[in-house]
Amino acid sequence: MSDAGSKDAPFSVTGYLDVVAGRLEATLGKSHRQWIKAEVSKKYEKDHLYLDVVDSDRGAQLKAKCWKGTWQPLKARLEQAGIAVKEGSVITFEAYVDIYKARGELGVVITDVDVASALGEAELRRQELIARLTAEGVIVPKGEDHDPHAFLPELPLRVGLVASPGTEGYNDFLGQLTDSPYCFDVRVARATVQGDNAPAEVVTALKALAAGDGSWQPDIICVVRGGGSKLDLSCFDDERIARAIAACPVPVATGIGHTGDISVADMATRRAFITPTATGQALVRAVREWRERHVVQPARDLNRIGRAVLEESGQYLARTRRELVTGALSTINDEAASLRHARERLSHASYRTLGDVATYLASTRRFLGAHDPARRLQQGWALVRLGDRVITHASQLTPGDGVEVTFADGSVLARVEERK
Amino acid sequence: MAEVGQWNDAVAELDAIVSYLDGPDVNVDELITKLARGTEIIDALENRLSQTRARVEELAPRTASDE
Repeated sequence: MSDAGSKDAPFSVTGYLDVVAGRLEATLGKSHRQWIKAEVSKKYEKDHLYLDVVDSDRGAQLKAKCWKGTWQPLKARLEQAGIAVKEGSVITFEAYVDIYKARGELGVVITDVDVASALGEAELRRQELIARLTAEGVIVPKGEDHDPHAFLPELPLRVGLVASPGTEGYNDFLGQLTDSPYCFDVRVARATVQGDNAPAEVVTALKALAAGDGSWQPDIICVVRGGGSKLDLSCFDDERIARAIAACPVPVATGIGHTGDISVADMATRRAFITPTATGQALVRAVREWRERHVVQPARDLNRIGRAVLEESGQYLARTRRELVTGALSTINDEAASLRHARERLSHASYRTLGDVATYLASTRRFLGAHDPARRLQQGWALVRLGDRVITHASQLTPGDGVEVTFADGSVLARVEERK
Repeated sequence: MAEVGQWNDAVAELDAIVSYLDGPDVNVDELITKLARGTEIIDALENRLSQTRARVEELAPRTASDE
C-alpha cells in the first residue's frame, strides 16, 4: 500500500488541502493562534470583516477575516478607543490559519485585535503626520497663551459653514448666531463629518465656500462638528482637511468635538475653538467687540463731547449773562452819574449865567444910578424942559419961550428974555 | 414826559446845551429855554435809565438761577 501523496497514490486537490489544513491547524489552528502585525491594504465589511493585510514593504499579502460574532464586539471596543480599522491602518491581531479550499487560498481568521497596539500605532502615525505638516508649515505652532479670538476677522458677519445640517454641532453653532442680535449671513456647505467620506466632503465644501458666488464672499469659514467618540472625530485628523484649511484663502475656524479634542484640522488653523458653540460665541463676540469699537464707543464719545460742549456753553452763557447784567448795571450807573453831572453842570451854568446877568444888571444899575439927573440936581444942577423936551442947548430956545426949570427941591416956570 | 429820541442823540443834545451854558455867549432869553430843554432831557433819560435798571434787576435773579 502506497503512502498518500506518493506517485502511486497522489492526493486529490481536496485531499492535499485537507492535509495542509490539518497540518497547519495542528500548529497554527484554533488551539495555536498567533499574533500578526500587518497593514490593512483592503477592507470589506458586511457584518463580517474581510481584510487584505500586507507587510509594510508590501512583500507579502494575506487574507484575513473576522466573523461577525467576533467582529461586532471587537469593533465596538476599537471604536471606543478611537481606532478605525481602515485601509492604511496598522494592526496587531490574533488569528488562526484558515484554508479556503474552493479557491485554494490561505488565510487567517481574526479572533482578537491588540487595541493598545493599534492605539499606539494610530497615535504614532498621527504624530508623524503632525510633525510632517508642521515641518511643511501646514500646522502653525501655537504658544500656551494663544488666543484664537485674536485671529478672527474684525467683522465676521458673512459666514461659510461646513457642517452636517441637523446635527447637534450644526444646531449649537447656528443657535449662537441666530440668538445674537446681529445679522449673520450664513451659507452652508453640507459635508459628512464622520467616517471615511468625511475628509473629501469637508475639503470640497471648504473649496466651494472659499470660491464664493461672485456677489457673496465669506469673511470666515467655520468647520464644526459636535462631540463624539475619538473614532467619530478621527476624520478631522485627515491630512487632506488640514492642507485644505491651511491653503484656504478665507480664514477658517474650527469647532470640532468637545473640550480636550484637538484634531489635526484644529492644528492647521489659529482659530480653533473647543466646540461648535464656542465657535459661534466667538463670532458673536467678535461682532460685538467690533460694534463696541466702531459704533458704541464713538457714540459714547460723541455723547460725552456733546455733554461737555453743552456744559461749557451753559457755563459760558451763565457767565455771559452775569457779565451782561454787571455790565448793564455798570453802564446804567455810569449813565446815571453822567446825568447827575449834567444836571449839576446845567444848574451850575444856569445859576452862573443868572449870577453874571444879575451882576451885570447891578453894575449897570449902579452905572445908571451914577447918571441919575436927580443926583445932578442935588449937586445944584437944574433941568430945563420946553414942553416934554429936555433942553440941552441954548440954541433950542428963543426969547419968549416959557420953560420949566426943575431943581432938586422943585420946579419953577420961567420965560426966556434973551439969548446970549 | 417829553420825547428826547435815541439815547445817544439825547446825550449829544444835552452836551450841546451844557456847553452852550458853559460858554460866554449865553442869552438870557435862551437860558430858560435851554435850561428847560436840558432838564427835560435829563428827566427823560433818568426815567429811561430807571426803567432799564428795573428790567435788569428783574432779569438778574433769573440769571442767578441758571447757574
